[in-house]
Amino acid sequence: MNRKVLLILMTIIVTILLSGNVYAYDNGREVFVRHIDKESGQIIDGLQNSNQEVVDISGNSSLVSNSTADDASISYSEYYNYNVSDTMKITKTLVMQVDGKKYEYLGYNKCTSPDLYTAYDIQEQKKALVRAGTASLDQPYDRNQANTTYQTISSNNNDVTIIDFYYSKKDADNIKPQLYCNTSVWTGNESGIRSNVTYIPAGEMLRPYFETPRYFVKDLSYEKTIEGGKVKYKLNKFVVYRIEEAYLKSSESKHIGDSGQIEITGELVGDGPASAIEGINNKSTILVQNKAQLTDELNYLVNNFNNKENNKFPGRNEIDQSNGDDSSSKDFDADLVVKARTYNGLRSAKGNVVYREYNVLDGNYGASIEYESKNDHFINVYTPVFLEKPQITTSSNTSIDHTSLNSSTVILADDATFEIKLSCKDADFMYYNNISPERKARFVSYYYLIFDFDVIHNGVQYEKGTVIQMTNQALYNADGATYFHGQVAPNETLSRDNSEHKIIVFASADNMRDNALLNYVADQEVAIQIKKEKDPSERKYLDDSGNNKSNFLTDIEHSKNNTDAQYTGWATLYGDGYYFAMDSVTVRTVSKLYDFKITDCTDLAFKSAFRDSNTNELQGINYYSGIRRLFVYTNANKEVTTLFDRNNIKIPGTSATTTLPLGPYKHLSSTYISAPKLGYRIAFDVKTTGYYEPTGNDSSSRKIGIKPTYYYVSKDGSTIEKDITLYYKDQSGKYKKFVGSDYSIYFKPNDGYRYKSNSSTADTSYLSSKEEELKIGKEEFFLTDNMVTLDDSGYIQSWYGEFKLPNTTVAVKNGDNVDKHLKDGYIGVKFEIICYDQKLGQNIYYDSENKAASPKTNTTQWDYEGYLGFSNPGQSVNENSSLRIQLEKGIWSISNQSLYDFVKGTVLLYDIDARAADDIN
Amino acid sequence: MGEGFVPSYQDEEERLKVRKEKDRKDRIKSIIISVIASIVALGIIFLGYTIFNVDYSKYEKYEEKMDIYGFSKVYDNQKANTKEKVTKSEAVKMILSCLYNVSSIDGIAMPTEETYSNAIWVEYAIKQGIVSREEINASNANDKVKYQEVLVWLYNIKAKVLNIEPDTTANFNIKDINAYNADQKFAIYDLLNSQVIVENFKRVDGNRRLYKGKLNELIVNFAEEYNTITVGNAKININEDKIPENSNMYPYTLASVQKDVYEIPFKNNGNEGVIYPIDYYKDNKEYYGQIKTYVENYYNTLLNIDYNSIKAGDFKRKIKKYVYDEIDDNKLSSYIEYVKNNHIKMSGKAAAQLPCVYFDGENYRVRVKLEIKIESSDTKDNLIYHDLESGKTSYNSDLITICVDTIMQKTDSSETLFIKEGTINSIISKTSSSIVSKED
Repeated sequence: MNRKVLLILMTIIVTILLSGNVYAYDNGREVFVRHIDKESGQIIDGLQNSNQEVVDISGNSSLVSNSTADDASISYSEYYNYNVSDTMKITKTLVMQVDGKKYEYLGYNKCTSPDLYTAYDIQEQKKALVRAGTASLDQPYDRNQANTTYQTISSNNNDVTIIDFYYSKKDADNIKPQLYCNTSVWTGNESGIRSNVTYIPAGEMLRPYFETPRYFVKDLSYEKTIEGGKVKYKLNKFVVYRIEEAYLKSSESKHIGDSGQIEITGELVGDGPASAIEGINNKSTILVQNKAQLTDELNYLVNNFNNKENNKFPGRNEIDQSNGDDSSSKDFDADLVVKARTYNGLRSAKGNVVYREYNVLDGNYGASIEYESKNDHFINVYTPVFLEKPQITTSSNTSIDHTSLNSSTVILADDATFEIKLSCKDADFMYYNNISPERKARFVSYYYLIFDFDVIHNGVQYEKGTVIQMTNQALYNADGATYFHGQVAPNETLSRDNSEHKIIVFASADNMRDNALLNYVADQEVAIQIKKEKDPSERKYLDDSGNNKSNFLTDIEHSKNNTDAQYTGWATLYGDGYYFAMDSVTVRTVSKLYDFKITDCTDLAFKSAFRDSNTNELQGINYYSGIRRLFVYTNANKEVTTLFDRNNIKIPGTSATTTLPLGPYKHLSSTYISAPKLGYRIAFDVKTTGYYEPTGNDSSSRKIGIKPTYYYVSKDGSTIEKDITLYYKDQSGKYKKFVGSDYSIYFKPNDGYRYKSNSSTADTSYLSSKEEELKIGKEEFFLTDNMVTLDDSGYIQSWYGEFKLPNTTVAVKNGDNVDKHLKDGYIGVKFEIICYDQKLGQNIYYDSENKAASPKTNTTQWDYEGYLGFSNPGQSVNENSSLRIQLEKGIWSISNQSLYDFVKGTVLLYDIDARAADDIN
Repeated sequence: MGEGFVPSYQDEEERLKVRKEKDRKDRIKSIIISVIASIVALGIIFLGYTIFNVDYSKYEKYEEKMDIYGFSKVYDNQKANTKEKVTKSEAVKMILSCLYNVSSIDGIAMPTEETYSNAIWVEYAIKQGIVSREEINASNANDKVKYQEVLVWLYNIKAKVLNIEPDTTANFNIKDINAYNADQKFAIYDLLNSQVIVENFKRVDGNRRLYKGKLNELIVNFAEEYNTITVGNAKININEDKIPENSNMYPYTLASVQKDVYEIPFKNNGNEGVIYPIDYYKDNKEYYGQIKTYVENYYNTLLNIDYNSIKAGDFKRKIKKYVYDEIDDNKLSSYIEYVKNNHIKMSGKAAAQLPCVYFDGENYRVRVKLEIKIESSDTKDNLIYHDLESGKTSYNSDLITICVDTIMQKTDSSETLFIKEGTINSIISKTSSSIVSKED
């Protein structure tokens, strides 16, 4: 065989030998990836990645797509076939969330074998042990290993590898709205307090909202990309459920009987249907605001999560952060109105939130899904009625109130016309506090008034005890009040009663639909009370203090009780959540204290002025409180009060009048200009009205208190010393302070003539004929039951007394030595006169302004009676008022209010330089 | 006074005579004592030997099985010598080797940073809950293992990994049973009941160090009992009637394979170096699953043909993974066309007849049983892919069962066997009357 033939043969042989390798098909390596739910052991649909990374022998990365294995009868999530010389990096799923579910990565098992089914058997064995808790995973999750990678290594190029990634569902149903989706209700008038109960009056607007994620992730997945030779994780799916709308469903009743559904009516605000929603079961769509903002947020997430470099794709903690913040009341802008006549009571507020699929990456929308709210939120329809204290005013000019009684006690004279102001007030109810008066007023539908005396209203006379219904007129009056105008019926003689009368006022809540209040409470109960015709034990709804009892609601509208404490939330339910509020006005007639006058003076020089020179009897000269007379008498058992100018008070030959103070230039003889001298008495009396029967018992009697005070004025009126101290010499001849001393005088009330000028009070039966003591040295001395005369009906009383300053009286300025007597002037004696009525608990003050007057300036009894000639009650004194007191050496002009206030009530000017003893000597 | 006393009247000579006599008696006495002592000592030695001698001969048969099953080489010294002791980690390795029928656990277990002997096996066993770290760890991995430890581990494998209900009934009278804790008792009874322990069971002596003979017994019996050495846990035949005459050519035979299939003569191309299954298995058993998958998937594609739906692309994609040579598209297209033209529709099922994998001196071969049902065809000829390429093969029955010894080949880079495609006729190993092959 030559060499050429040998070469040819060898070539043929080699070719034959190599032929198999030339055409041999190299399968490369195969990798099966399974994403397994550890709990079920099943492959989790949707977790498969779209690709994985392959690194070639030079270290260059590329991607190989998930594909389908041929004739592999096992189930798998991903399949890859790659060249034998490459290394494949397999990561766990990049699907962070699928169909709203997310899975916690636990680790992996892997098995490499020449045979798929052998590997499968082993992996299944391992899985069983892992699931049973017997075995741990080949490579458990490592917190520090953010990018879980398995690099396939095998000595045999045609091996098959199965990698089982294990996961557990993070939650059983890990969609947040299924965990919580809380209905809440915002009224716009509450703040800062979360509770499970929202209070809302009937007819008011409310804004249901839902505390629920504004969006939550449905699908979130990444895929690997390679940029610049590096793997980056790029979002390939980001679908969220974003909140689209929500609605409050018709509510199921909760502890409130048979028809507790909240009834909603009114037009929807925002983009919702414009038509009014009527009825119970209509849904009310509430739209979400700020859609654009939500979109921005989602786009931001895309930017934040997208294109992460290797090892930085979101881990399981970051997934949680990709769910939206909870929605709040600001995300909903549709306000609903609770139907005006919805009963008070608790309703559960359930609602649905509608989410819609939103593909953040392309902006497309998908299907909707609804979740029902999970919480127990309640709407407590509670229409509060809080009455402002009804204000009653009377326009009658006979109403003069110089009493000390509470100002709310209104004086109603006979035949008086009056006005009652009815309005709501704020109360400790947060919602109520934050709304306008007009809206508050809407909560009241009617006012009901019941009088215990007959009244005339709108020309109709109502018998006492009759319920007078009055529509709330708050909306028509600027001040939000309703005014009741009435008049005491002519047949009433309130003034004669001299006692309290009551006007009961109800206000009914607007959601009180029927006449229950009228029928059951007002007509039956209050009327009964007022008429006093039945035993109080028969009262059903009101307690003794007039408060509505808790069972009232139950009786008038069963099962609407709000008292289940479980649902009261932050506040206890108010006792008058029972559709009405009640208050009362007390009115009364009041006594008068009037007509003070000096009827005698023992100064020898004045004897001729008061007494008959022959009989020495009082000849009826009186020094009146002023130039006007308040004349009170009874006619047909009703008080008649008139005020008119006095006649015949001018002192002949002078411009002076027989009015107080008794002093210089007041003698009827114009030639006697001096004032009474110290040591001489004066006699005086004063009248009161109101039925009175003297008993002599202190606890049940009236008495008149006199509080004398003193000042100095010079005889020309130029000097006034307001703060002086009076001294008198006691029996030992030493000076002693007069005020506060035990200095007394005694007088005989029934002296046979001192009452002569009070012809209307001719009943002298109570007048003492004995010497009665008057402790005039005290700061206050009293005229008592044995110093009074009465009129025939006992309605008018005249009270008598006497007063003097001791003969030895000297006056010094406060703080001066007792020897430093004030001279060349007068001691002014002011009387503060008070009628004490212990039975009625009222005091009447001669000096008090009239509480019924407006303005009250100069409305004391002195003023009404024209003290010093004052004639304009309600106005201040000024230079033009021409008030003056003629003194021996000049005119004391009372030209301003403060001086008038100071002088007012001066009954007597003693000559400080003259004493009774001088006459004797 | 003693024997050494000499009266004063005796001379020196007399005293010497007495002393000699005395010395002679002493020597006789010593000899007698020595002989008795020797006899006693020998008796004790003999008795001890009789009592403590281990009859290793019972275990020698397992050494051979260990070789055949490919387990011997897994031992640290790659020998299954009966008398050798076993370390703890070695025992764990042998158990896992038996469980997974592998000689390396690299593909199954994760690499470990531990460096003690057989660490990857032990760490894996710990993770799987078969052994505990308290039982075996870096500090005691090389300690000799006790019999009772291995029994419990093997029991764990059965109960936990194979999830087979244990049978812990006390059917055997074990003399030292009270020496064991509950787990050990369960293991002993279960392994006895399941005939994993068959030798010397009257007294377990579990506290003694384990020698390979006993471990071999456990491994072999466990593998056979629970079919860990077969693919897919196919049942090993234990029916004497079904044992083929040439069973000595196989590492085992399966109950599911008829004995005449096993008895079909192996192909021999006449070259030297034929490797029969019994020898091929021990070094290639890891690939038997792959072989089975490849041939069955391949032939299942070939046998399930429907002229209505057959597409060349699908057909090629399904088989290309398993074949050694690149597919000739022209030949495939011709076949597809032939199928369609002749309205050929057939179904079939292929089953690798493991462990019948051998080397015929030139090629690797796998015996495959093909069951074919011809559902429709306008022709009886050349129904199966590649038939067209050589002569004519006629199928004269609608139901045909044949065995073929499919040729397989390895690539340079892999131990994986790929199918070397050819005509059915060329590889058919058992003549079927239904198939008539004619040369053109």
